[in-house]
Amino acid sequence: MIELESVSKVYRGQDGEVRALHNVKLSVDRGEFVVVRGPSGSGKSTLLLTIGGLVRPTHGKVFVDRKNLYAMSGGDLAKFRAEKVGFVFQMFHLLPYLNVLQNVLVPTLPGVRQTGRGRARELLEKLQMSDRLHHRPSQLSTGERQRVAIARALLNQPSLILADEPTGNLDPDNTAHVLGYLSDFHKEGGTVVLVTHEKSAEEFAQRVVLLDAGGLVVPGENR
Amino acid sequence: MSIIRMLLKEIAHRKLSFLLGVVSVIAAVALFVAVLTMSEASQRETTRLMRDMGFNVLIVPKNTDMADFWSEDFGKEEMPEDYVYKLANSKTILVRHLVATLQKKVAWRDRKVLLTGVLPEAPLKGKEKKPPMGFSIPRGKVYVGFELARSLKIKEGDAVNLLGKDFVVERCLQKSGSKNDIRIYGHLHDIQEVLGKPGKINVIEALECRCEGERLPTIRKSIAAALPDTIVSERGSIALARAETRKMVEKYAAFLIPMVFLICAVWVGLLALSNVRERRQEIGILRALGFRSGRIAGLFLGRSVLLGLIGAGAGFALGTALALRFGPEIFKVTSEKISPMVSLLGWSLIGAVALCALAAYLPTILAITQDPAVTLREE
Repeated sequence: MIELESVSKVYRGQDGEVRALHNVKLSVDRGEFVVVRGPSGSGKSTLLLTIGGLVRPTHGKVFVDRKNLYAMSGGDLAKFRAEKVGFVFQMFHLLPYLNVLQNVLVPTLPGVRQTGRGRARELLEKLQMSDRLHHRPSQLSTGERQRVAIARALLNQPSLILADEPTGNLDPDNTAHVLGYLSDFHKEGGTVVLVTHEKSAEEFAQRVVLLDAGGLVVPGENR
Repeated sequence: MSIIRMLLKEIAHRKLSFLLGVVSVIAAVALFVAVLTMSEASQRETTRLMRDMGFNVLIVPKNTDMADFWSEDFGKEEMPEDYVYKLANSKTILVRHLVATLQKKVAWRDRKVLLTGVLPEAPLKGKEKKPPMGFSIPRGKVYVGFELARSLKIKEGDAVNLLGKDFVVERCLQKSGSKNDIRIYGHLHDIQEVLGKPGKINVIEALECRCEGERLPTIRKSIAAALPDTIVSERGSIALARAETRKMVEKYAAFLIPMVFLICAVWVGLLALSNVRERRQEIGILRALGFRSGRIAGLFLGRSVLLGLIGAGAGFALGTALALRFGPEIFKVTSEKISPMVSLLGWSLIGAVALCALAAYLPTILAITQDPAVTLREE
């Protein structure tokens, strides 16, 4: 499903160049659950955003479903993200001015407004957030915020979840819940690429990939 | 979720920032509306005063004795009526109103009266059409001055005979406290007929609405070129008063309005920039969720457009209220002269929306070009 061909990413700033990814080669099959690990600054987040069509690599190509992402137009790339990918971040990134239900509905695709509403309620019920539909993010615990972010990522029934340290701010109970939701998505046939330091996440993964200073050290083997 | 709904929710969430923007637009639009409303009223008032005081440029035959003219308010010399048409059809003459008259002092019902024939004002070729200033008296009718009407007990609708020709009194005029109270006004061609002077006039009165003292030589030169056998004179104090009023209004309009609009644009731009900075993570997540650049731009530009619309509406109302409240004092006009200028509402809406959209343009571009990889990793 995902194919990275010699992907490099260099950030150019006032302090010079920072090499975030260097010649990364990676394949992820459809329906695979892959955990990406590595020390801070090793390029894990950049790798995830590159796969999600948000960060254009300096060199190399990224294919998802055999489509060369960065050969697409901006509009097609946005459509790809809306339809195929669900993002989950460590900082949740909920919109502070919308309530729980509205936050989940933000990515609603055109023409499916009614069904989107029903699905949002279903997801929130499944994630045990039914009694919080009209609460603002500031009124939720961190665990609840992450559940809302997961519901938002799942709204458009993506085939791929890209999760960047989704348990980084959570206590062990909530960590277990979040990993459980990602595992459920995977069991239903979805593909998951999870960046995490959380050791327990490896239980759910079919493969663990190690990144070191932008270079893929261990591409991982199926477990 | 629709962009408009998100827009309204965001505005409700960050009320203070939005209100600060609205207040600045209200201030700019209110000043614009107040100054223009008051200056328009001032212009109307000045025109009224000028009309009451009379025309400010006089054209008389070259051999007119001006000493006689000033003592009688008209000269004995005559010139062809065609002269007024010549001026009216000239594109180079800098006057706005032209009225030709033939005047003569005659004895009527044991009194001295000033018989005055007035030619209805001819439209000036190639110039904006203005409401006529002089009387437009129908053939066969006369207007009778206050003193004559009072002393001779003449009423509107009475039939009178003037030097052998019958007329109907159309109007008895209000008291003016001048020679006009002993005038009888008629259509120029009727008066030419009763005086036996067909095709003759003895003065052309003109008004040059924007004339200032130093422009008289130019006006004089242009008229002299068209009518070489005439004298052009001016009632100096009237022109000066008019120039002073206009200069004051123009000074206000030319300095204050652009200055306030510029400050408003900078302020709205800074607020938009601050809004973009505050929401950079939101922009990143919207990109990740598949929002196109156009939708994200719509969120930010839409906010500014809404700000402009609300600010323009409220600013128009405030500006009009300010003009009504303070206009009479500042511009020395009667309060009845100040009326709301509805046409300014449209201009305020267009101007404020364009200004706000322009001010938010750069911050919006910044918003849609932000690197999501940077903003999504910020804590």
